[in-house]
Amino acid sequence: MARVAVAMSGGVDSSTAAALLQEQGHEVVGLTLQLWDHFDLNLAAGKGRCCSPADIADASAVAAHLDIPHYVFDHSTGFLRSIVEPFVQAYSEGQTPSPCIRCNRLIKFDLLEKMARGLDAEVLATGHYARLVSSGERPQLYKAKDRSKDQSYFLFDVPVKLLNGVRFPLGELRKDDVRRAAGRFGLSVAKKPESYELCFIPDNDKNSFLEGRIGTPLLERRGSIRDVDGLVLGSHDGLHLFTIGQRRGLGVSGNDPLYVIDMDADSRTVTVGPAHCLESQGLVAADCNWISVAPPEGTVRVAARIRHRHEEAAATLTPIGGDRVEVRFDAVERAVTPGQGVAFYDGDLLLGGGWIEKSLVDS
Amino acid sequence: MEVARQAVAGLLAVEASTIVFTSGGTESDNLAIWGAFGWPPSGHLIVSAIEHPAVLEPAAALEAAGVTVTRLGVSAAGMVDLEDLESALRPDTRLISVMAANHEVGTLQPVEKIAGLAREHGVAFHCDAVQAAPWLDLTALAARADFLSISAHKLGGPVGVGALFVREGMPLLPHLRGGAQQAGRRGGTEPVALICGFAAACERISHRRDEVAPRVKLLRDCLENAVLEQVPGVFRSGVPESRLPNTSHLCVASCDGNALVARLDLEGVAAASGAACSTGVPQPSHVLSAMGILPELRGGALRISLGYESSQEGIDRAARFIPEAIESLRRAGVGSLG
Repeated sequence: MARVAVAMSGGVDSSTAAALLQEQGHEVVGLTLQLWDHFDLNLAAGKGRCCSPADIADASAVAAHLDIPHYVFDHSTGFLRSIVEPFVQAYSEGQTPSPCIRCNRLIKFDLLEKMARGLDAEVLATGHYARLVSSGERPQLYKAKDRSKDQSYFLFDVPVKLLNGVRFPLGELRKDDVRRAAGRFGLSVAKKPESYELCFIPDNDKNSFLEGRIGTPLLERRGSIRDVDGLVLGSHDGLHLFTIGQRRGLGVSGNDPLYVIDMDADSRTVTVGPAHCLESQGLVAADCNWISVAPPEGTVRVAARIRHRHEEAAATLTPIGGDRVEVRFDAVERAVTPGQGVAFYDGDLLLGGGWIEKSLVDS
Repeated sequence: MEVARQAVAGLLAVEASTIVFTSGGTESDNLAIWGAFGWPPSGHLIVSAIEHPAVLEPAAALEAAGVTVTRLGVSAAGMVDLEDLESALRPDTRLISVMAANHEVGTLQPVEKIAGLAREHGVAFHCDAVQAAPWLDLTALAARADFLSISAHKLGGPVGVGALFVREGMPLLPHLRGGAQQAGRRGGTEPVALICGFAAACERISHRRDEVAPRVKLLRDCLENAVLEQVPGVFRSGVPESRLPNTSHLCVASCDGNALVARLDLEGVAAASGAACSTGVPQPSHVLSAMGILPELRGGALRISLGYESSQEGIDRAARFIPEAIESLRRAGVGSLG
């Protein structure tokens, strides 16, 4: 059987993916990327985030248990440059970035696919929950069978040519099945808890992390909080503390609950308003990437997912030149957030996606 | 155990009473450096910029405690310059620590001359000879140095034991206290089984070195030349002469060193990118940067070390797989991962 490279994070999913491929008779090679320098932390403190020393040790232990070769590659400098720094920059400008989608495109699939080819592996497999059928001209990427674990949204920006050599062995499985399989294979990580946090942020404390990295002094970050009529309701310590749709921690109150509805980087103004102000009729997305279909030439019907775990909204998509599209929802959607990714589906099939540039609100 | 101590002393042709057993090279280096300075530390320390971290990190810690530290640069060949060393000496210089052979590129340092210079100026001299011990006759050096570190596993002995030679009469502050073992120089019950293994390795090295070293050098040259001839964009680090007979260090353009090591490992060829003990640790090599090697080449470092049992057959395999692996990684676009 063919040599297969498996991206191993030390979690139960990728570990089980490796074990399943081995069971199918493949010659499995484990690859782990070290993306963040956790060396200043001790093992206990570094637990539970991907690529912490404890996770890399877990990946090594699984590889040793399966008796497969396992290699760890450091890419922390590249990760800092292409993921973390833009993440900090986006927040400081009042955007809400999606670093995992960027990382899949710029780091994980790019680097690991090259590495897999360099090691003469025919295929790169990962523990993502998504289904990939690569028989025809373009790979067809579907949502995972286990809808609650589906990760197809995070894959919309992966270049289609990279997906040709990729397999997702967990796409047909439910999370319970994966844990059971991990138990059957005797993997030490079978009961390891899930990590929902961003891998590079300690203790899930995004604000402290951003504050430590945004170079701007407090006085130059401060701005006003205004209502939709421009009335000043209070002040804030930086746009990075807010995201569109946020209700808690605003430090201002009104008669109705107030939500962040807009941010302006130039004037550093956060605009808040009642819930109905969050509603939008559509969006403009840029830098679109098309996976299961060729870039559409005319208007098409899609189901648009505007954030992870968002239930897709029926919409009409129209290319507006370049790699940009305009999306009009059938019904209004709340909290369309610039900086986030939008993925376009046709049923279970992921067509492609783009990056939300702005929300469209009909006056 | 005292018979074993004599065997280890025999490798250096020194008195058995001058040998302090330690847990390995790292401890030997630490013991020499902390031990020579005493507590509280003061004065001046000279090290080369390409020392092993087991020397550089204690030096940095001493610096933080108030010691002045001079880190001598090296030439492009990776050698310390004697004149630089002499001009770095100060009236309060307490210790010079320069390795016999570098742990990454294998370059030999003029340590016998440094030892002589140190003695002339009344400065103590420590030599990290961990890497050199399997390949070089260290007796002349041991006759002139004040401290000398060796490690059993580099000699084919067990991991977990090493020794520090301490010249008779040299003051040494123990860093492990709690027992009168080893004449009060290092507390703790000695691991006799490890020490006996260490002694056996020393005896074997003493008997076989002169016969093995020239043979290994030929094999090394054969492999290195094969790679250099077959693959464009590969550069030898350091000078061909004046290095350990078993070490080949190459910088490979447009090819990530760690990926290359992984690929070779899959083929059954064991190599390293950087120092063996730092494989997998994301640090650019301080040795290569001190030698002025371009950053774009540092990522593509390939370090091949031969052993006493290396065979022509193994070398032929490596000479076939290394060029293949480099070409295939370059085709896949695996440049430096940085």
